[in-house]
Amino acid sequence: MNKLMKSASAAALMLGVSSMALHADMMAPTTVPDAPSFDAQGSPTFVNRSDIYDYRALPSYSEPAWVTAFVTAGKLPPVAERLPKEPLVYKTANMVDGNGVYGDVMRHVIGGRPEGWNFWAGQSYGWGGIDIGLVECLTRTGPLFEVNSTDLQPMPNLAKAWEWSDDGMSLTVHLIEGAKWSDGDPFDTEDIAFYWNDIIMDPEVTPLMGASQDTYGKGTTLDILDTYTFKMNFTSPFPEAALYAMAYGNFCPGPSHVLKPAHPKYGGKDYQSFHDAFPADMMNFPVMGSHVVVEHRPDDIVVLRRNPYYWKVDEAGQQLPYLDEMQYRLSTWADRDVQAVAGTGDFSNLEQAENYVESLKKAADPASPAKLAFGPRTIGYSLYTNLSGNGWGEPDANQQAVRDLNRNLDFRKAITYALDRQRLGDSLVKGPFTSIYPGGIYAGTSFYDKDSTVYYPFDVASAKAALAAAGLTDSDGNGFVNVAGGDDLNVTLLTQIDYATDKNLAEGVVAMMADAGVKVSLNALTGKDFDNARDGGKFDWVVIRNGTELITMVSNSTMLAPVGATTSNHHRANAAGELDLLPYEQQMVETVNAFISERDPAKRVELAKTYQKLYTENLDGIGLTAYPGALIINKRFSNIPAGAPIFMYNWAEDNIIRERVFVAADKQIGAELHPNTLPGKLGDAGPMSAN
Amino acid sequence: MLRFLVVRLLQAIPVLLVMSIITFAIIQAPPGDYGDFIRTNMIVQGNATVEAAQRAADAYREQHGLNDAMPIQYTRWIWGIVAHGDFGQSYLYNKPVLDVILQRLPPTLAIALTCHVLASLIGIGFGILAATWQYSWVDTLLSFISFLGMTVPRFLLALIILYILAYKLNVQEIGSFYSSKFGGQAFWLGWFDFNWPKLWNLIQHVWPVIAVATIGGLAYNMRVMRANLLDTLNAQYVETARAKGLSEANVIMRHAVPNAIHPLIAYQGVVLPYMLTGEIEVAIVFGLATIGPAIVGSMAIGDVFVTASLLLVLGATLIIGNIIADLLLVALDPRIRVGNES
Repeated sequence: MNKLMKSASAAALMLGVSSMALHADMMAPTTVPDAPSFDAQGSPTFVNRSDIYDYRALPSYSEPAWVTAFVTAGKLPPVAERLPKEPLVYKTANMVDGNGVYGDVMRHVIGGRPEGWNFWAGQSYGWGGIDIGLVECLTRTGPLFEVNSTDLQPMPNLAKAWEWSDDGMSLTVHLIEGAKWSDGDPFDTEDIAFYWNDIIMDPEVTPLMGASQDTYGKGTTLDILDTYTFKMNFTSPFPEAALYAMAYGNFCPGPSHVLKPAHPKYGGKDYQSFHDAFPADMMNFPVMGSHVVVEHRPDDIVVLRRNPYYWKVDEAGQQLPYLDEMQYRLSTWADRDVQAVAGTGDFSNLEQAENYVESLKKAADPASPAKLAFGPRTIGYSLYTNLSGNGWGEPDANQQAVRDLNRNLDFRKAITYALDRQRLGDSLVKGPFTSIYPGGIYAGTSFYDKDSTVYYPFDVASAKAALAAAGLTDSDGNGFVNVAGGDDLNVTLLTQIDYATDKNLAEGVVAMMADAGVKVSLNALTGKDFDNARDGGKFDWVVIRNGTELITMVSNSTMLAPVGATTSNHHRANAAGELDLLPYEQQMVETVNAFISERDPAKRVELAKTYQKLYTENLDGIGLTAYPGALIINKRFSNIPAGAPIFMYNWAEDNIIRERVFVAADKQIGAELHPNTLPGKLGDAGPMSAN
Repeated sequence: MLRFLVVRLLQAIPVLLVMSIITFAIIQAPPGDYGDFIRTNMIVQGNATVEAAQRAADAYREQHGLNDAMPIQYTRWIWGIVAHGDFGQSYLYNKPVLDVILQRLPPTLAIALTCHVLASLIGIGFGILAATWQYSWVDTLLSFISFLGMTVPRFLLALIILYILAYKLNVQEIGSFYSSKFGGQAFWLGWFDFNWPKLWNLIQHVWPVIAVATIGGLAYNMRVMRANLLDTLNAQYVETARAKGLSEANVIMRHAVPNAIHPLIAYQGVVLPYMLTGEIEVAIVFGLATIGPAIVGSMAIGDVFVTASLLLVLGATLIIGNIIADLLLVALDPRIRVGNES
């Protein structure tokens, strides 16, 4: 009896153990914890687009007194004649410090170098906001960070208004009337026609951001209706994305009166000559932006002076910009933060979380020249598994085995359960900065919905259970799971070493995966080698800083899912152009395509929820951490909007609306290099004086 | 002598040619090119889609021949130099490489020469002091300085100074030649009206670079001068001079030093390239717009003709320096004969 009892209890025990083994369950997904809040993080005052600016005629206009001297000297028409019939008017109520005063300079520091001024033939101005300041586009997206989600649509800019046809197959766009280039030439549809016909539609010309006909929707055409009106014709109804594609930097027309004569179609020598026709040492290139380049000392500085024909004013009728000069010191990107904190530069985007505490400490000193303003947590990193099972990046047998595992949801679950995101964030910076980011659309952005976000919490036991469910066990007892042949599974994680944040996160992932029993090796590459490996599909897993598509959903929407052969960053077509989509990916593609062509805001919100659910439930990308960027800006500047992100729809240089930023008279520092001068004629050596 | 010079110059041609092939091949060896730089910038800075950026990069490659095989690219570049004096086009600056070289070489040479002169003067001065005060605390201190200068890598010294200046002393005049206010001004504002504030501004900016490169260079001068002077001070003619009743200072400066300095003069030709590379190392750390940062910067982004041409120019400087050294040696020492004069 006793023996029987013993065997029965032993059997029961064994049964219990085996049933436990069978049901070693994974923790259920849950909702993601809220991010901590902290004082230095501002939040935007949300308004409708029309609260920021509109277009109307004002009873009178004014300009800096020293500019009037040019009018008196006969070198410039009076200000009212230089402005359009109905200029763009910034509303005082939306300016945190009200209408400003003229004078002073904003000193930027950048790491880029201007290649030349032919943006339309692909020449870079050196980035860092030079092009944003010089080139104006049909619509504008930077300030959308403070626009109510119910009114979320690109803001008018050079395009003052637009209307869709009833069937949504065409869009009629009305340009601002009577605006002029900085040399006084009228801005009208002649510039639009040149941009469309001779830049976009000319296969020999590639503008800087690579815009082509398809950027505005497949097969889109454009007809000029009159001097200030044109019509775009689409092949699918209501492509809202086209309005975003008219913002920086895809529909920013150039001065056709200057560009045209250099274009081969109109007598220019050849395309190379067109590309090089406006070299970086040619001054006073006409722009629609607030400032014009008047001096360029190679590897030293680029100086911009106010555009006397700028077409924006404040409600008091003062012609903008308030700042008379912009300087761009040609240094390195790393130097930008240093100089902004030290006070010799005025503006920087602080993005490396590792520097936050030190920079905040410096900024907390009352004598510090600069302040730090944190925005929403939209700098986020994710781990992406390579989901191509049919040969993208030519994997060998071992890599193919990893790809097959990547395509298994249980395996992806094992990764996400193994990640302690709190620790990952703390490894970058301790304090309230980082938040737990499960992946997908960021918390705190327009289309985020917490209830649609699936979060698999950190739990090593669940990770191990998920590995077992994926058929992976540690058969040799060395702590790492094995593949079929008995070898340890070895996954390669691609990361870049140019930025400490990427590398720190990748190293954290390696350690945490080891705890769960997956051996991961780092493949840490520098800049372009990393880009080539990533875009060539030569990775098992990769750590990437996410792009704008997961912040806004409306910019670069095609990158949200593999809707095309090369749109996704972790699942592209093989050499034969075939995409082997998983069922959930197919659903994501359908959702994204529906989102792109949907106009009803309520339906868009629903589609975004579906997308977020599909993304986070199926772990399309595995979020690691998200944190806010900080704008470092010199304290003397006024009218910096609260909660301006360093990057959302566009960079901070656009978000803060520099043309209405000013410096109070008693804080001006007298650092203008060309005081009391205005841009001269194209090709002149520098700016001109009134006398 | 002339024959010697011509032969040496002719010998330099194949050396430069081989060097250009090797450097060009090494520069092109890593994967990726300037098209990748364009693509990355468009995505990161311009927020372009990956597809659009890729298309633009491909178009750029096609237009600028980046897809051609390396031997073709090399031949095009070297033929441009030989036939037209054209070093190719810098992709980044979008101007001829020659312009980049001409913009950066003069300040590089000026800094290198300044360092060289200072290193020679201070090094020789230290050497004289150390030799005349042999085994005293002066000798020990100066030997210690020269020991440090010889052994501590210059880039490390530059990093330490940069850290102290930028983070501890809050010095802001680094990373450029001038403050933005002075950069655009001329040195001569009119007849007899020299722009002293600009010169002072320049000195404020470049002294750390000059100091670090000079410390690295003075050590050799000091060690050689000290050893030679000690030898000559024991020579009979020095004793004779003393016996004649000349003052000790007169004995050292008029009789011993001129004889001890010979090897250092012969060394001048070789030291120039040495100082040039020293300046380059330090300028990279300080980010001054000279040759060094241009080589490193262009290499990182695939601006190949800039890298290759700058290395070629450096190589040429090295060869010319060596030829000058040989000529100086011949001029100074009649025992050395050159050419086929038997």
